[in-house]
Amino acid sequence: MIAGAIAFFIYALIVSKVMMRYKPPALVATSALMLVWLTTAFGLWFVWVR
Amino acid sequence: MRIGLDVSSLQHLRWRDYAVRFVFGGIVTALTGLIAGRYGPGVAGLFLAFPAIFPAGATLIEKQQREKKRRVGLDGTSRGRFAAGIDAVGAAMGTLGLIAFAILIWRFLPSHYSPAILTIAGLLWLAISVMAWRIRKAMKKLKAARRRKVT
Repeated sequence: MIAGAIAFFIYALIVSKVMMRYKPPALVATSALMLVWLTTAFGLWFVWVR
Repeated sequence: MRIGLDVSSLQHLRWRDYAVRFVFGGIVTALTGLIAGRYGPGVAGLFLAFPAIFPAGATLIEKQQREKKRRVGLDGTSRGRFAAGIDAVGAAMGTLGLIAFAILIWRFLPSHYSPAILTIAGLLWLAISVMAWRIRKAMKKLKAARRRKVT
């Protein structure tokens, strides 16, 4: 859960920056950037939890 | 921006909007259970912090803000998307609280009375999230004051 929450923090920060600067549709930004959450969460899990 | 509760916005939401959030949340909760059964609690724990409701919430906020502006004859697309961005900042601040919540649970739940630890962890989440928002707000004010000084 800690790794997932860290990944969510990074994901939400990037979504906010992208939404405020480039103003894409929210669904596009939040869905496309889900890859950031997946990469960070599983990366942390692989390095730290596994 | 102040943290507040605007109950009037509930009137503008349709049942479908609530249903979307519940369905997304429900699906991920059910999936987390299935993942825990197959791959163990470590991997399943990741999905306890999966952004399941967030995309639906951000999309609905964008739509609400856009329609609000349209009612007074303005476009509102840009405003709606900016509002979704602010929603994302709030989500990030809440996640800092969630990290603290998870650490407390991890360290103390196995050896202490569960309801007490869960209550304390919930309160810690609230305190850290609000504090993070306030710190961010103070930093923005400070930056704006510095910019004004330069110009």
